[in-house]
Amino acid sequence: MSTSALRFAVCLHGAAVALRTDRLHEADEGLMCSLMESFPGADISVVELGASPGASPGAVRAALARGAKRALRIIDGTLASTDPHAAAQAWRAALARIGAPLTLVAQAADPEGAGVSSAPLARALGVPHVAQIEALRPDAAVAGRLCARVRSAGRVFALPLVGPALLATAFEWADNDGSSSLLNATPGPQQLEILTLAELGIPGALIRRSHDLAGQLRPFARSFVRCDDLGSLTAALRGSQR
Amino acid sequence: MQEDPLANVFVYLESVANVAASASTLEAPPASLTSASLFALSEGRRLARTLGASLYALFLGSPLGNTELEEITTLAAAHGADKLLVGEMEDAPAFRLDMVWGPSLTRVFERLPPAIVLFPAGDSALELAPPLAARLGGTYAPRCEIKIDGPVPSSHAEAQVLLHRLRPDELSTRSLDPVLWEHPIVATLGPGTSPRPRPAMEIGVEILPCLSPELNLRPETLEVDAWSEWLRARLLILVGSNPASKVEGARTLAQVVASGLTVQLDRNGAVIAAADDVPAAILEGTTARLIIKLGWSPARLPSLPSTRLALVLEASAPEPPDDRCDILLRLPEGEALDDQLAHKLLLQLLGEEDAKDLWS
Repeated sequence: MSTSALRFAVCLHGAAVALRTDRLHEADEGLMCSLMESFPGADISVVELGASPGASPGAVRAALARGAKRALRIIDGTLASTDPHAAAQAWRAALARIGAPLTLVAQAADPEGAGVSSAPLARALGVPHVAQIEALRPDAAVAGRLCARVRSAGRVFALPLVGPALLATAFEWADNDGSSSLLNATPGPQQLEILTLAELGIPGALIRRSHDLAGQLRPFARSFVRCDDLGSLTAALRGSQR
Repeated sequence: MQEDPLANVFVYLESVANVAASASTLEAPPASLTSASLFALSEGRRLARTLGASLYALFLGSPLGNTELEEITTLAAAHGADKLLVGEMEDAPAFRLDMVWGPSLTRVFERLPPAIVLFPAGDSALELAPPLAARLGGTYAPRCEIKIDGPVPSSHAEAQVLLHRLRPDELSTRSLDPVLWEHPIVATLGPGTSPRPRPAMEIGVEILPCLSPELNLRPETLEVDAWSEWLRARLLILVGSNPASKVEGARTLAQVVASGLTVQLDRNGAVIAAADDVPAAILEGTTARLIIKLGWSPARLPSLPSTRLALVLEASAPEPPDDRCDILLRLPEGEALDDQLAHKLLLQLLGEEDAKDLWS
């Protein structure tokens, strides 16, 4: 099967509204690398939602350098204070411009935790949400069909993919220290499109403001203990268990 | 029992049959509940008692025999459930995908609107909880801990109840107060040990027939997931690249692990493996309370707020590139990070009898 006819949409940052858009998360990079390896020449589009007009497009540039053919950035200040259910409406409109049957999201790239953003998006798209996908390959049995490797209920399954779906992936992470020269790659003007919500046809009122849906944010700091020997390590471990 | 639509707490129960299959036949063992499910029930009981809510235990699966149903009912009652709901699906597929069970869950919660749904540590949580929260228009809160500040026992008038979770950046937490929350909360918990079961008591059991969805695809089982128990482990030991391999004649820790050291959950809820061998999907789903890294490895594991990460390094090992550790032991000069040291650590930590389970 030629993989060049396949079309994928990849929602960067775990399908969340990105706070930092200057670099590609290792999980997103792992997803891009895996797709390019399994489906060379496939038509991959990446989409990013951000709230800051001046934010660096480093993540989408890196995705383009990794082989994406097109990048769509939705940048709008209204997105700064939205929740996953409302943001899913913006994602849906953006993905409609792409028109790919399969939407992929790297679970671990979600700054709020795996699945917080991808499941509302699947709901908005009206497609099944399949999580814990660790590999995606062409289906050897049926030409043109894809097969996902999924962990579920103590077993590993090969899941043939029929029809549109949102795949929440847990592919191996890429080795990315954020300093890759790929970040400096310059995309062609036809590859990178930047739109606001209004240009996407979404009234700002639709993106309701509800910071609280995620819960109250509080700073967190780890404690730190340095041990000298195995005995003090064991004591520290015992003491730290609740 | 009063069915107050604002005060129903549900705990999803995961069966051992759903997480463990025989390597040779893929046959599931008889139904019983995972220890993580019993812990989730006891946490649900704490919540329900404080909130003045009813606690429902929810079990989904193939139709149960009388013995299995009795066993699950007894366990649910002993760990605090007010009522057991059993969703039975004829010819239920082995996998726990949302496209199979999601519609049934939704029907249950249309009838009994939940304030909180708790999922125990395990792979059902990863698959079913996020889409359920999306369907309910609620909040999905992964890897939560329940914190109740106030007298014990106490009502919600006297105590503050928080569902507390660490964000992946590990620089901030999110806290949800279910008393003030206007939306249903679907939370997943970490593993834990449940308190002593309460004396046997009668609880109501309701059987709910679940429709088998029309699926135009049939997943094919490839293999037993030898790693699934990692999702319910309380103690993870990850062996990094082992510098002791440079020591002539030494049997390195990595070699020991590669030669078949168990990756199964022992009775302490502990597992050990070479970090490079653990699939990313498993690492991303773990919620251990204690993680020990023997030698540095780049594996990044999600944490509960109370999770503690210990790192053991040889004297000559370079400084680790990230500082996500709570406890650091740098071994004295000349002491190798090998299998003997690891064995000694397990003996000290778990005791001789229990260390045997992990290290034989």
